[in-house]
Amino acid sequence: MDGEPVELAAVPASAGSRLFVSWGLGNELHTVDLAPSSAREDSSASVVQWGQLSAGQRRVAFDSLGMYQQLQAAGHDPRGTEAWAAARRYAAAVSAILAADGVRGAEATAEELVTLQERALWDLLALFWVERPGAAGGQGLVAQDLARWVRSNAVAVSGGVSAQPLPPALLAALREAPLPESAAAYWPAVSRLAALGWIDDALELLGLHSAWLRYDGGAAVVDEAARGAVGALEAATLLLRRFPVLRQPGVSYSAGRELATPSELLAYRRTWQAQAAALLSDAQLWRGCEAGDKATAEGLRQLLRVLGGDDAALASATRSWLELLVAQLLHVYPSAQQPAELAQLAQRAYDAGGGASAPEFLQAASALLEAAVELDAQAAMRVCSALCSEWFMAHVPLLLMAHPSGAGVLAQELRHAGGSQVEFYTLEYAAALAPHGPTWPLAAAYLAWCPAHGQAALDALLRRLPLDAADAWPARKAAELAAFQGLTRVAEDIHRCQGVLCWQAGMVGAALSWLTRCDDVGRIDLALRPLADAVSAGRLDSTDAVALAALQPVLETLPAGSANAALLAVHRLLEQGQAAGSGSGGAGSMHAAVAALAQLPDAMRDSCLPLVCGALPAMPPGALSEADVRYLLQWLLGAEGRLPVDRKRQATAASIQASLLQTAGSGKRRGVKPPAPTAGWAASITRKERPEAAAAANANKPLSAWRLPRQACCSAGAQEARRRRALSRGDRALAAVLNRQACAEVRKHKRQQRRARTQRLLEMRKTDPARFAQELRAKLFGGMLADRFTDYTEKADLLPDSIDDEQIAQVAARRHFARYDAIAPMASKSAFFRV
Amino acid sequence: MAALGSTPLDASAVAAAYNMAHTRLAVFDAGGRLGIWQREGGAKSWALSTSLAAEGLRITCLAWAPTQFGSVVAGGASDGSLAVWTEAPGAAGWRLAAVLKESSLAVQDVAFAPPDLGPLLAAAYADGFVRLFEASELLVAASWELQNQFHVAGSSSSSSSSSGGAATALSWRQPAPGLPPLLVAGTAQAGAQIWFYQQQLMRWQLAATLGSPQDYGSKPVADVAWAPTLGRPSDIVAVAAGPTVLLWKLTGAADSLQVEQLARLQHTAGVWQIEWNMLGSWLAASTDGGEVCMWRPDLSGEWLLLNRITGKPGAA
Repeated sequence: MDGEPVELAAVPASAGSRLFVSWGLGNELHTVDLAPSSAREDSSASVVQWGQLSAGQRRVAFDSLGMYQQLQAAGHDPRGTEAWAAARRYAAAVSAILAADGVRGAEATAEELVTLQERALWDLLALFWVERPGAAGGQGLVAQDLARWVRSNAVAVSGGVSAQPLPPALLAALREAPLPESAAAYWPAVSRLAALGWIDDALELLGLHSAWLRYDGGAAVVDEAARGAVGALEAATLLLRRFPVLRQPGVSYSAGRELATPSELLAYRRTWQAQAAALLSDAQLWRGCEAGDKATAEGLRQLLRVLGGDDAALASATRSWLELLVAQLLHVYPSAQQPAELAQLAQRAYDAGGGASAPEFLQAASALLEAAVELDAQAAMRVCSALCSEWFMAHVPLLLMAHPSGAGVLAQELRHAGGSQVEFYTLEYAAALAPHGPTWPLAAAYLAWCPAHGQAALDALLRRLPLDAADAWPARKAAELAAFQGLTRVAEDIHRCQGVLCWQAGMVGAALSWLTRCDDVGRIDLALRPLADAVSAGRLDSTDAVALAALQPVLETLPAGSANAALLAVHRLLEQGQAAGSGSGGAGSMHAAVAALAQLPDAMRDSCLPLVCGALPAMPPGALSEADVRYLLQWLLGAEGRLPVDRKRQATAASIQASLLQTAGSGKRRGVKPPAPTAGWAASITRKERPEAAAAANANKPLSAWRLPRQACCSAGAQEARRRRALSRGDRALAAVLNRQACAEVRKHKRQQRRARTQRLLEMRKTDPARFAQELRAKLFGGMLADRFTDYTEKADLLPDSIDDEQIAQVAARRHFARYDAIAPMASKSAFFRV
Repeated sequence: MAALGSTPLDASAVAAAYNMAHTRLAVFDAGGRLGIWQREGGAKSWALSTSLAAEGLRITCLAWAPTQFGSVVAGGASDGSLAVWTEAPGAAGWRLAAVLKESSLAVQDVAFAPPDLGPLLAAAYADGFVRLFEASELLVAASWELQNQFHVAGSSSSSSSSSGGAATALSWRQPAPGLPPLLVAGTAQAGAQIWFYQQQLMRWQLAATLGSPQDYGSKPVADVAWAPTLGRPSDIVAVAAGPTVLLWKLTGAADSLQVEQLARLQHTAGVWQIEWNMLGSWLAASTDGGEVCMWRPDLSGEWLLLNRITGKPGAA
């Protein structure tokens, strides 16, 4: 075991308790402390998350996804020039993304510093694995490349804004000061800037020296002190302006003398250093300077010692081993080449510059430089894994694999894991992204590039996502992603889970819609059971009726196979047939109803008896075709024999008889001979007796048995009174007729009510879609229909102030994913398709 | 380094279980009540949504059914009862839907099968039986029937505890095409065993035994966990007994499994629960000492204890 384990967190727990653990999505662990039996202390449920991304890191994560996908999709051969060019673009783009936020305040926050340090390491790796130091015209010389790297990552290398060689605050203060050279930081800054090769900045500081203003050669009284200082300053400035630099394509120097080749550089440099040495030994010059300003003389001599490559001067001018290394490379070993010389010089600078006691970043930089010099990708990964974020570890392999040495090592399969270490780190990154609402789709995007484990990991991630009945977006997004990656079973399961959640929340419409997408007939059937039961039992109340009417569009799209859906279809068709009367529409509906009835299983068809028995008596003449009549007669006669023996039998049987009479009547008009009565109760009734039997059945039925609403009962009050009088007179046939009239009136009233409700909703949909959506959502559909009317981006603009930050973040993430969606098609060349 | 959120549960918890999405938490407390806690969005806190009495049952283990089957929680009791709570759709709320009593000895562990296998609940009993109950319906089923059973002594008809002793823990393998249903059962005396369901015979058969009792220091198995396989070339099963967690590597077909000990993870206190993360790359082991040890293999495959989470009175 390497070292002691890190304590991630301390969670509240009562004394002597044990922690029940459960892994959440990715880097998330849930705990509950389970108390021993004797304990009386309350337990706690805790959530521990680690490796989560800060706001800045989330920006980097979103911005870098496109580049990552682009490079992965290109799939270049690492040995080709295209791969190198693509890696170069990738390195530069990611570096720019990391630098985009920079430092917003006067000093870098810890988070900003971490990002900038990652950028520094990224640039260093890019320099060695992609750019190849000295390759771009440098012919193997590394000094200027390293100096440029230190300069572009000065905040990270120095450990903060105020610690860098020329902090903006210092420069501003010196510009404002009457005697800048008297500031304590002035001369150390000049030497440090010169040591690091920041010649233009060093020149600017020298230009701020007050002697330039104080000296006026044409004045009557010349300031001798200023004259001496200006003499020395002029000489040093001239020398700095001629600082030798090697010309490199794409690099511009604002100061220094550019030379075309290393040999020219070295030849010129010898002369230039001789000039520096001569200047340093010019006793007369320094006497004049010291006479007026000792500090200036000492500061300039220190500068010249730095330019001359004096070890002690370089050591005192620099602040860290890394700065010392760069200073030595520039001023002592400008021709040093990697790997042998650079490695040796780096080690020497590390020892001399106090590397062992340096901050963690500088130590890591040392180890990384050592790995980079050797182009040891494995060692580089090891160094980075100790310091860098999961994001960095997931992205840096593509950089290292731009070089054949990196590709060879990193693409090797880990025998115990079944994938390469590139994949290992991508999975780790996905685990860090997974627990958070805004970033889980990013995790899914990265998993698409894991050839060995990606599919299964994406499967696991999508199945565990927290879905919500009231918010369809996560389910929709997850299902889309699953379908896009060919995980059709996962997509189906997501639809199923969302459907079940909606059903559980009482949102039957949304549930049916989701379950339809996965053709889950079994669950659709269960979800419709309460409505179907109510319909078949004839106890459909007004709420159910509204629900049924509203569900109609969904019911029409359900997959075949649900008996309850078929029952509801029969009910709807019968109602339509009744409502349409004897016209062609009515006849069509009745025929469809009979056809649907014929499709039902026996038990289910028998449960339609009350429905059909209720519908047939009210049916207009000629509504049924000859074949329908035959079928209905056969079924009704057969169903009678299957009725259970209970209290309701009498009434139901009476209804059947009434329906038989009606059907037979209809058939008679069409010349259909009814089938012979079967054995049982119906068999004892002759055709002659049937009207009386039907009348008796209906007459005995109190009005309340028809489950009339109160309003309808009132409107039918006159008929009810007449019915009672007829019954009291013993005129049962008249009572039955009156009863039928009353019920027909009530049905008419209910139809009108339904039509009015539907009309109102349709009007509302046109005039006030938002309210329409809200009403439907509240009653039946949850967020389903509302989402069809409003896009999430629109939602974000409409967010009231009361919405909290977390919700805004969620919406913002969705906006991001509008972009992500645009990128997603690129993944069609993803690893899944290649393997 | 880590973000932490804690919620007092206002009771002394005896057993707990999270649903798969970690949006709900079922907690059985010492007062004999089952509490259902709800997590809002990605928050780190929980809110109590329901609390109901368990009608005298002393629940020791809980499990959530997969979401596909609605809101269903099963709990094993010390008197051998297996309770099933369901949440009716709409505002009807939770209720105790069924109490299944197949033994007078305690239920030691309960585990719902992966959803592909249907609404199937496995329970490990102290009498050595693992019993499987199947629901009559797909959604919030109230009716559960004994579908199958087997005894960890190796017979499907043993009537009393024998060589295997009690069945102590269960863990299902994720289903895969071509593989029969597989689960690992921990025992009190015979280590851990892999069982598979033979469709033709309609019964469970012993596929392999993971080591001998000596491998576990003759201690009863406290917990077992079958790692998510992902794209790995082999399966890994973790078995906790005493202070040791043994990792076993399984290869081959279900009826001819080859077993190889992969790693031995040693702890300072007895391990009573183990769980794999979603990717099967981390193993969390909870000890009697109130800490959670988090293990992960490095690039060379060596298992390292990298992190700890500790339980401390008053920690925030």
